[in-house]
Amino acid sequence: MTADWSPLWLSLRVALMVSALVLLVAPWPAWWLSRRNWPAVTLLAHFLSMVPAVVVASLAAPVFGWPVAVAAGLVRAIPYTLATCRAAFQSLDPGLVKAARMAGASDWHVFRTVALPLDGGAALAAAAEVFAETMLEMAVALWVIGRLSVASAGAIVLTGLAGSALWLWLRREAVR
Amino acid sequence: MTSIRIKKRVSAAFALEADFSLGPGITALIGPAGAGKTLLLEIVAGLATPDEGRILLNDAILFDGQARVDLAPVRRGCGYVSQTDSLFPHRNLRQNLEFAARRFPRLERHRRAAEAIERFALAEAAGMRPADTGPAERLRCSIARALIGSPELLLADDAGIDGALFGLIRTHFHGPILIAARDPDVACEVAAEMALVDGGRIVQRGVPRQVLDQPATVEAARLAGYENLWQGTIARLDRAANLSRVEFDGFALTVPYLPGHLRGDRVWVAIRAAAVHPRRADAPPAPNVVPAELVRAAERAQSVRLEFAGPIVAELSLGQFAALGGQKNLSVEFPAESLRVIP
Repeated sequence: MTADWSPLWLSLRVALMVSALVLLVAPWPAWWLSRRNWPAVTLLAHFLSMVPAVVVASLAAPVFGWPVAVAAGLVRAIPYTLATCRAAFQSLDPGLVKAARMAGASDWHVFRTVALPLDGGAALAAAAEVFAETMLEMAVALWVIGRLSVASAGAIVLTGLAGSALWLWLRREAVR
Repeated sequence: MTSIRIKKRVSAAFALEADFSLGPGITALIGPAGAGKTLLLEIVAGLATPDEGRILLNDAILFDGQARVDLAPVRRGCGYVSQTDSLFPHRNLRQNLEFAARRFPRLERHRRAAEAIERFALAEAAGMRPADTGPAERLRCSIARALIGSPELLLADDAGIDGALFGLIRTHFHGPILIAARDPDVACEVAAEMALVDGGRIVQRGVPRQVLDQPATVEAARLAGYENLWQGTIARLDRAANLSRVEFDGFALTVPYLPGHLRGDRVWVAIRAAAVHPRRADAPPAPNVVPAELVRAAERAQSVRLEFAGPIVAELSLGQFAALGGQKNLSVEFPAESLRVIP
């Protein structure tokens, strides 16, 4: 009897999609927010990041199809990545931003040429963490609906662990 | 004409207010940390916005609160050297210079960067990142970066530029320079005008030597480094003998005649620590010599700082201190020509 690997492929697809999308979507608003104080946005992001994992996991159940699982994963991943990137961008030397502005760089240009090269590591670390978390949430969701094979469960947990290890390494590199 | 007239309220406790013109030479803003010097430079550079006022650079309006004119930093024609070098750590020095010249076409950008590298002796370090170069090279690079766009005004914020480096700058830049510093020494060496800044306002302006020697207010005297400041009462005024006597708590001093004052008026008297002469108690009597009890002697690299009850502060050379013989009960002389009376 061959092992059913489809839960692993499904989890990988969803986790990779969530990680890639979060990398695409979160850093720029995080940069923009890093130099503004909007309590409402901070409150909303904090609230969304507190949505219990099981709720997202249930929503992410494959009965709704993988695009819905990706969307559900993003609900938690975006606020987390926003907060991580925002904190990193806030620690950027303001003198560098001023030097770029003196050279006539627009906000977007400063983000692309100064903030991302110097603090983009924080965004990569956040994406790795999102990948690991989404893998484990997918495992829970598949287990709840009884579609998780033992082999896939092991592989998902191992992949999640690898994602966490990558997060740890990237975070250390970003701080350095 | 280059003039700055601005107001900016930063918090309930601090507001910046300045109104002055810039001459063609170097103008130095001298004041303690938190006095508002950096904010003033940033406002001129366009990195911060004042609440009201007007900034003119060679008669061109950079900012006008009423007319709602607020030019972007890049359009102001100002070069800015910040307190820290603020070079991009992920780019080498040449790339840092090219970034600052990014508004020029590619060939012109390269030409300007090459010229700046040559002018500021950065050829050896041009390919290195800032972290791999020394502080002197980073400082020269940040100055070169500020000048790469051919500005009309150079702003330098307590960047540690010494007299020799200002000389180098002057060979390539002939416009007005506005610097901010805590230490008045560089200002004395290079500046044509000095403005003492404290608590967000300019307390005195003028030629550096004149400002330092003739402080107009108590705040100006403190900023100019007068460590001995006492408030006293005029006890005697003698126009014929050209002398006045001012009494303080525990001692009295004779100063030149104070026109426009009455007996009983309260005035401040200031003297630099280096101008106070401690003497042995058994030394022959002299004018303006008062007995003083030594409270503390702090040895420094080149001098000794003595603190007497009073409080009176004196600074003397190691040899002069040794000549006092370690006595606690001394007398101190306040030479009349070194005393400054502040109304």
